[in-house]
Amino acid sequence: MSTERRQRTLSGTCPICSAAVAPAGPVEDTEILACPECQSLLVVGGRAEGGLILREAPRVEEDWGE
Amino acid sequence: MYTLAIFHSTVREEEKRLMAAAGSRAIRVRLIDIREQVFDPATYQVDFDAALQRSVSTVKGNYAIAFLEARGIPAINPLCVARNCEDKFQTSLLLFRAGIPVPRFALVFSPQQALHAVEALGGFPVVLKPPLGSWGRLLAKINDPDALDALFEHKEVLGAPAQKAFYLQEFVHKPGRDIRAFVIDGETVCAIYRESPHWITNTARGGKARNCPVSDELRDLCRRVAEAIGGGLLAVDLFETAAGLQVNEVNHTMEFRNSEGPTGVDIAAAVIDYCIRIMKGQRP
Repeated sequence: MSTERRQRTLSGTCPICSAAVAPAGPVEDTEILACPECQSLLVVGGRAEGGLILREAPRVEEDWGE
Repeated sequence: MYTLAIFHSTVREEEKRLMAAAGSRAIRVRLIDIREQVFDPATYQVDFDAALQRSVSTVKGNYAIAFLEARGIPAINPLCVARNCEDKFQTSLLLFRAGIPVPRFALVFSPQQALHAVEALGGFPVVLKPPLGSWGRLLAKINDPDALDALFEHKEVLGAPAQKAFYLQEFVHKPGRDIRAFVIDGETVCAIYRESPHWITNTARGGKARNCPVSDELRDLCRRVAEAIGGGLLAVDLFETAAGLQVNEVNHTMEFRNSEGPTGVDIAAAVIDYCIRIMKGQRP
């Protein structure tokens, strides 16, 4: 099986509090993580030199859900 | 080898499990961020056999499904199922027309008509829900006319147009829980109780999942729900009442990460197996 996935195994920096965010395993682009320090919800936005690109996760919108 | 596109806006635990299940079945997966697509029918390249719509945004997901179906690509769930589930009033009407037990409901556009509706629904308390919404958000248990007036005023002043259609539902006294059934192609694969001291039992709002045995009543009712809605992958929410089970809502982009453990059922695998049947052309 081949999957076109952009798995990342690196760490990143919380854009809110600057804490190190080191996921326990590989993460996917667009995956939501929680900062271990400030608990902010962050979204994996790709990879840059040195680690994961982390941005503050978007707020839940009116049409989101199941 | 079949290729399944998974349209998403965020990769959650569900999407990871779906990809793992697909991998174990030798299904190639194309993970497609719906927000990065340009749905131009003249240029869009399709290199997959079917699309599993997993975007958390109903609006974006429905546009993607509409585009893919116009290109002859099977979407799971199809647009008709998504539309039947996205609007609670539409869902309730379909179930009511099919003779499926549902809580009493009404739709009004003004607080004055709401009072008439409340009387017909058996009086206060009633539940006010946005016709479009999920995860137990923006639900209100209205206990008296003063609260009703206040909520309507808030929605009139602050709400988007869709918030100004007021879906009212009789308040059902639940035994501290409700039921969520996972229904695939008309078959109930498993179910959970969602237990909470709060009247809102969504797991997104803190409800705890526990296995619910699938009774004949539950299985038959969910089969009828699937027929009324249009089949596919459905998460059916039900109340237990003295008169039997009633269907509260039907969801078309199920979350299941909290349900596989309590039920012991590999829901992700069941979803992928259904997708495979679609791709093989065994189901419409």
